[in-house]
Amino acid sequence: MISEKHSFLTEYERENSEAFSENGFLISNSNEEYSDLIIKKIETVVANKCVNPPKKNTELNKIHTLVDIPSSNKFRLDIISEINSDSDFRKIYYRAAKKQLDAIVGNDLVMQTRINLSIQIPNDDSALLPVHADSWSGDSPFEVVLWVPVVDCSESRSMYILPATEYDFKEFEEFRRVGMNSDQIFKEIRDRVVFLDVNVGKNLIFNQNLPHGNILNSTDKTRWSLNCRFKSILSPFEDKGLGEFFEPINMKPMTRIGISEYKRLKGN
Amino acid sequence: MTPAKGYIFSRSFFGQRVPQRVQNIVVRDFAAQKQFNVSFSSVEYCHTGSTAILESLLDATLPGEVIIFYSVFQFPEQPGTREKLYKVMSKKRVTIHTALEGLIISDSESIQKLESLIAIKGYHTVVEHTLLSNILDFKLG
Repeated sequence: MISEKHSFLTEYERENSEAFSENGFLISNSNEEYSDLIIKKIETVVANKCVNPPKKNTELNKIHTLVDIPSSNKFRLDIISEINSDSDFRKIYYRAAKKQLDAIVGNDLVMQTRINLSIQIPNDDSALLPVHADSWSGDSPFEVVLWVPVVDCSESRSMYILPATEYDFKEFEEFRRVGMNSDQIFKEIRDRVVFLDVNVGKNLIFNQNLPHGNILNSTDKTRWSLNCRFKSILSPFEDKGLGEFFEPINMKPMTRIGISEYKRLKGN
Repeated sequence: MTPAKGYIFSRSFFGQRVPQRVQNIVVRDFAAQKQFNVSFSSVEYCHTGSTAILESLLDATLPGEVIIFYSVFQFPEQPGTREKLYKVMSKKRVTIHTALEGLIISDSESIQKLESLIAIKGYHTVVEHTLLSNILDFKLG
């Protein structure tokens, strides 16, 4: 057996790789500098959209006192559009969790071209995401989701996931074979899913092949969270294609050289 | 509204085939969003590697005008042909937008990004093709 001091992985990489593999998700501290910049950006954008805006992010969870449910989706889409028009925002987002992404996915990556925002107002049943795995609807099984809370998220004001320890592919094949709908599937697994507690300053990276979703926010606070997908440049793409959905963000020189040579050697 | 010309394909590109009607809808929707007035979309010949229609389109494009491709992966596959295209674009100050990906190809930075996308896409297409050939060889052999 190879002793720990001779492992190829650093202690940080090993611990986080093991935790991610075992659970299917990892909650850890974001880089503070970039995490703060993410929050400040959201605060600034929201401040420009409200007459009496929340003074800081800790008050964003009361946004339902300023924005009603029918207006909330347009409000959300406007914010998504604005944060994505800032060419630095994706760089900041990536850097907030670069260390964890390096350990779990690698450092030769493509990143989703747009960062999404979820705003889940208390008792809003229009913002529900039924149980799903992203790879069931066109995402590559090689992708992870980096999920960043803008307010403290927990219980029904967060997302749930079926941990890797509870996931059995054959069980879901059977659900599909007998024609269960998403509500019926959720009933089957609801005792085994975990709601993730992710506070501001932390980030969540999860394996999107595992069933996940959200339920009605029955707390008295609004959920705000950002999400974006990453995968290795060289791993297979599915329906979410290169260019339209993903862009390379840090291609290494030897990868660039290798893919050109590979095409020359193997291509026609 | 800024005048623009559309450019779509009648053949597959990097293993993808998209109906011309769908390409046209995407180009026109993009143009409407960006306030471009697309007079028509030219359809590239179906022959492998042909850029004949694109060359004519560039000849007919006035300095400062815009061409809208359906996809970034409709740029010529041959690096040398792309180099020539970049030179013409620069000389005529023509900007190319890609409707599906929302990219703007106008300067060396955007060309570098385009080259990365084409390189990665080319690699994945070859890998898929090689994998398929290996499977067929195994099954038929």
